[in-house]
Amino acid sequence: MTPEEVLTHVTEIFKTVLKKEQLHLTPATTAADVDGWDSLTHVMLIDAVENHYKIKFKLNEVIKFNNIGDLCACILKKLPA
Amino acid sequence: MNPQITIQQATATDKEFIIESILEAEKSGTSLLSYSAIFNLSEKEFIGTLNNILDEDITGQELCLSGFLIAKVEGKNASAICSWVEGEVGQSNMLKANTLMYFIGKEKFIAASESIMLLDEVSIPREEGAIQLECIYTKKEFRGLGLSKKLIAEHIAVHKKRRPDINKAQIILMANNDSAVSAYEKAGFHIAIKKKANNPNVSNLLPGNSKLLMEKII
Repeated sequence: MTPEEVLTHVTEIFKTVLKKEQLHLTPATTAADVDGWDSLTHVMLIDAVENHYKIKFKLNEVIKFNNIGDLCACILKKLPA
Repeated sequence: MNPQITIQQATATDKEFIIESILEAEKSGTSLLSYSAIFNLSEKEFIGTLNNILDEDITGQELCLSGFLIAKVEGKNASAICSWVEGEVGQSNMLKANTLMYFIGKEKFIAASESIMLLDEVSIPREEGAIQLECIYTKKEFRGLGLSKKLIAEHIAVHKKRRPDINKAQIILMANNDSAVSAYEKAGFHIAIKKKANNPNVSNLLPGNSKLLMEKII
């Protein structure tokens, strides 16, 4: 899977969880840039991403997610090559 | 004779006192522990969770052992305060949510959605780049010695030495904690924001229905 494909999937997951049809995410997007991405929806987003890819993030991974790029890079690392 | 007061950073041996500080600060003079009310945990269960969280020492939010300074009076733990600089290692609310999600469990966290959304009414954003002072607690028998004031001054001095550009310190607290408000006013803080909940159910989750942001230019 390519980084672009992961970003596309993640964008779809975010649209569903945040109930926003129009949402444009880039690797530099942070929670502060997205209306509705708060501490509660953050947990729902992590849960949805983990369920979608059937992966589990470690605590020391999730606390380092400063933007969408960090999240996508971590997903890519966990997916089989 | 004045008692001997020393200030030091909390270590693993202080964990029990830090847990007491977090719980008592959170209760704000009442018997209601918001973590228990929100996540449907007994106080004993939450203490177990808090033990594990403190072991991880996640910086940049209030449930972090190394973020605490302790004032000791004649060698006895008397007062504690936690601090961090908002945004330095991430947004504190996200760091705390990640930490609670991991230790309480995603299911329990998501099950608490309704309660967490209710608290939005009194949620006050922290200013990026400002020192945040949290979990401010002094044991009853050591009150009146100015320990909180000394700890606040020490926290500010430590951050300013490292980051001279920082120019503000903030405290978020329950509005009904009159003695704390008065103590922080004496320490140079003023009320910058007050948020009151209209939904009466907020009082089932927090030890009051209004929160304050107090701040001080440093």
